[in-house]
Amino acid sequence: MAVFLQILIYGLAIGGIYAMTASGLTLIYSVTRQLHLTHGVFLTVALYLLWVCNSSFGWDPYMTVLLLIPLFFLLGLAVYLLFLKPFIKYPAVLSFQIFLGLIWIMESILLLSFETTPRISQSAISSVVINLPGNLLLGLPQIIALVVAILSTGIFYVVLKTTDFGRAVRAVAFNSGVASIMGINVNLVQSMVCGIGFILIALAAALISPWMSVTPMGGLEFVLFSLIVMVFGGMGNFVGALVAGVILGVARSLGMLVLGSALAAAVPYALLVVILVFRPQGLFKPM
Amino acid sequence: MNITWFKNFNNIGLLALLAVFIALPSVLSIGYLNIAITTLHWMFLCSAYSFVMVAGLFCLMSSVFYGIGAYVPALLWNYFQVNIYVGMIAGVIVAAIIAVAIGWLLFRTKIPPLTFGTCTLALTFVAEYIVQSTGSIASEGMVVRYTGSDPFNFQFDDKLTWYYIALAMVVGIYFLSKYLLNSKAGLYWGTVDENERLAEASGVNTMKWKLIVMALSAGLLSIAGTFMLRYQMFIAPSIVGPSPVIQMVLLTVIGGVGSIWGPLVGAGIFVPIGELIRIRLAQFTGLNLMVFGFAVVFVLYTLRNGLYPFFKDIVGRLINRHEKQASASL
Repeated sequence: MAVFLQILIYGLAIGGIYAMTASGLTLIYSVTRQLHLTHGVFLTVALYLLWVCNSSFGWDPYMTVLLLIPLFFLLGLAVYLLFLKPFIKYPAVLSFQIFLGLIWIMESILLLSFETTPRISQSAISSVVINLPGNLLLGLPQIIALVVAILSTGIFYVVLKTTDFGRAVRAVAFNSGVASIMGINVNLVQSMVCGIGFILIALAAALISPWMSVTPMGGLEFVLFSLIVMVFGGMGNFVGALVAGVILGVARSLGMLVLGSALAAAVPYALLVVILVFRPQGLFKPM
Repeated sequence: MNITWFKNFNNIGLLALLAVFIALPSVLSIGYLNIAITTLHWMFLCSAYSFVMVAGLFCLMSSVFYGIGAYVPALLWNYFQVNIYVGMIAGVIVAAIIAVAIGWLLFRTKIPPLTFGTCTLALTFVAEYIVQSTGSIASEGMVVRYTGSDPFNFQFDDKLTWYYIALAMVVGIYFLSKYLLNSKAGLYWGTVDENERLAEASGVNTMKWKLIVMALSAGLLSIAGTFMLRYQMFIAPSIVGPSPVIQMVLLTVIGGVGSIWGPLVGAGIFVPIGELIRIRLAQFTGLNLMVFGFAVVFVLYTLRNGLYPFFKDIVGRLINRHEKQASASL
């Protein structure tokens, strides 16, 4: 029972991370209609940056993230200006191919710089464990990851629903042409959304760096998981991304318990096939 | 192919190119011959892949069919001593069936091409996990049993023979593409690509033609897989993973989608570059992938349609200017 609960918490934490990256991805998709495939690679980049700061200077990842957030915001703007904005008018397949090329460029740079050895950062609280009654051991980093994931998704959801900026984002997501006629600066909204998506990436990286090792080549698979979460939850729905992320994370870790780690990685894909066959529009409607 | 066919400049050019390729092995050392065979192999792969792109399907599960063409004959040969040619046919059938099944499952949900692409890409990951988790010898890298040179079992010792087989495959798929894309099938696929709803409304059975192109592409890729199986005598699970198909996509896109020469040009230029980098600069692992990546980003940023239309455009303009000068001087 304790093992089951531990796996559940681990799955919830991972699911929270998926939810964060999927929310960023779904936001970027809904305002630009392009799939930002390098989302996962930038997560890997963030993890490596945190690791470098951790191993060379001894900085705690939870502190370095404060530096990383503005850096990644600017990075998001740069990626938008260079690779999303020029191709918005073209079919999405074009930017998909460009991002595939970019993924290979960035992954080979990472491979050349860092080799394939998995790296993990050491935080002051890496090995802090909360002892609950009933022989339950919960790692503090996982709990923090889960809490921050839910909080950040919640904050952005509130921003989207109540503020003017959030309304502008929803308008652009609904119909960017009409939104621009109504006086919304579509370029500004799109670039801000990309920046926010990248901030979520940096946050997610900080949350998982103490307890997950990073290798150069995991980027494409991570973004595929985020895409599965996106499709599962409904493209363009924040709450859907959170719910779907949690479901997929828990399913994945339960799958590790039941099927063994090799086949467990296939569980999210099986869920994707299920949702595509029975409910292709996803669990929730677009916001 | 009467005398007028030979008088056509294009066809003379084709024959000249073929002659160059036939004569090439005599000037290449064994290492470069290896690279040439790999290049021809990738030209075949990209052409086989580009069939689905012609029909507008962004299908990213070509690795699975490629791997089926490698694993099915390999398993049948290693464990049941089934002749490789028979195994090849079995591989083609299995690949075609899977292509049609998955195609049918995904096409009837009417998902946009992007989602179709990501789902098929996800399927390559699943295939890789499934192969890795079987726990049998296939999961780590399978060596094929070698029983000596045997033409009737698709086993040749001589590299030269492999080169000519690869060349024959490329020539074959060139003529197959030319025939199919200029036939009724090509028209149907073109209309599905242009506007699927309009095609349906005009009476084209889009589901049938999409499934046909999926099965065709799968069968050809499977044949290529059997070639690679026999040529390398070794298969790793990564063959069904995302890497081969991403490379196919990138090379096809670099060369230019939608034309017959596009994939051939894309593969023909960049596979040798990649292989040379991989061999000469082996201490920089992954550099060849970076070169592919840069090439794709550069081509898509500047040339949009690919290298082959760009070259064709330049050559056409040069010819026009030459003709204009010739006629102006009269």
